[in-house]
Amino acid sequence: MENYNDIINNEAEASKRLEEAPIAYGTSYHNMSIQNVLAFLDGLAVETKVDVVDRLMEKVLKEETTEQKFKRHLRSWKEATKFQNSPYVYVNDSNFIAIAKMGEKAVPYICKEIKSEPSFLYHALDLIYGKSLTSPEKQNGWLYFNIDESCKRWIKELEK
Amino acid sequence: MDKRVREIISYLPALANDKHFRITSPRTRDYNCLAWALSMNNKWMWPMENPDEDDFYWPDGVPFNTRQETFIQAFQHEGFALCETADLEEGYEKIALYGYWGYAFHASRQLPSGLWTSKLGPEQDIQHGTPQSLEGDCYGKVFCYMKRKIT
Repeated sequence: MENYNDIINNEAEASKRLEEAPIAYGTSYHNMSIQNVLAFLDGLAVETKVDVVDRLMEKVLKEETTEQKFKRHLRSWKEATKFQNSPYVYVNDSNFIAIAKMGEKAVPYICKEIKSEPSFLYHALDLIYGKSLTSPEKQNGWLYFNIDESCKRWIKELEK
Repeated sequence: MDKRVREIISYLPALANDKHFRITSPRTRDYNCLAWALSMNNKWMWPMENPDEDDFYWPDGVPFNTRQETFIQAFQHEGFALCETADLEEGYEKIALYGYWGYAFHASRQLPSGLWTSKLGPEQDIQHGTPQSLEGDCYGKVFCYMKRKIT
């Protein structure tokens, strides 16, 4: 087990590496590669690694642009809902909610996405604008959702 | 192993031991598992709300839920009745409903051969040997079987 002085030195070294990382690797925190991160963590105690990764994430998120934030949530949303059948699951996922909470800033990216790949993401536009251009058809105990039609209507509306 | 097969097994690991498992359609967002359980391939379907349920609203004020009893009621509307087993019965078509914690997440349908078919959300249709091959963290466990007469 490391002694007290080693841990202190380790944390001091970690802080120094963290601050110097963009210069050392010639890139922003957000664009550091996995190899950069591994090199940067090399030789640090496990506890220090955990702490320094948390601090690195804070710096990454601070640097993030709207597009990067949208893409991060979109990627996680797709991953979390990959084989899901329930519209409820799609629109209650925390990443979906995070996209809707981005508000109008997210709209150009949502439109681009639903244009190339129609999905329940159109409902984020319902939430952002507080209106719905399509409603699920109700019949015989069922709701029928037409994803394509809903996406097309939003794209048409926003391209006006 | 095919990349798509590997990906499906990573979400539905019990399929790894199912010798009848194969992908039977391309990826499509046109329909989901419930539509496919009713042999439809052009809509996403979900059971209509229990009027007492208010934990989520679509913008037009339509609440809906994913409770297992709501699923059963919705399939009863389609002429299905609860039954005991997944065994093939001549003159009947069967479905299996999946879920956990009282909520439902998936349905599969028996083929005339006795094998089963499922649509995996916005992904592909697959064939599988038994309803249990889809049990796991993704869809939960089979909570009931239902059958209706083939007309």
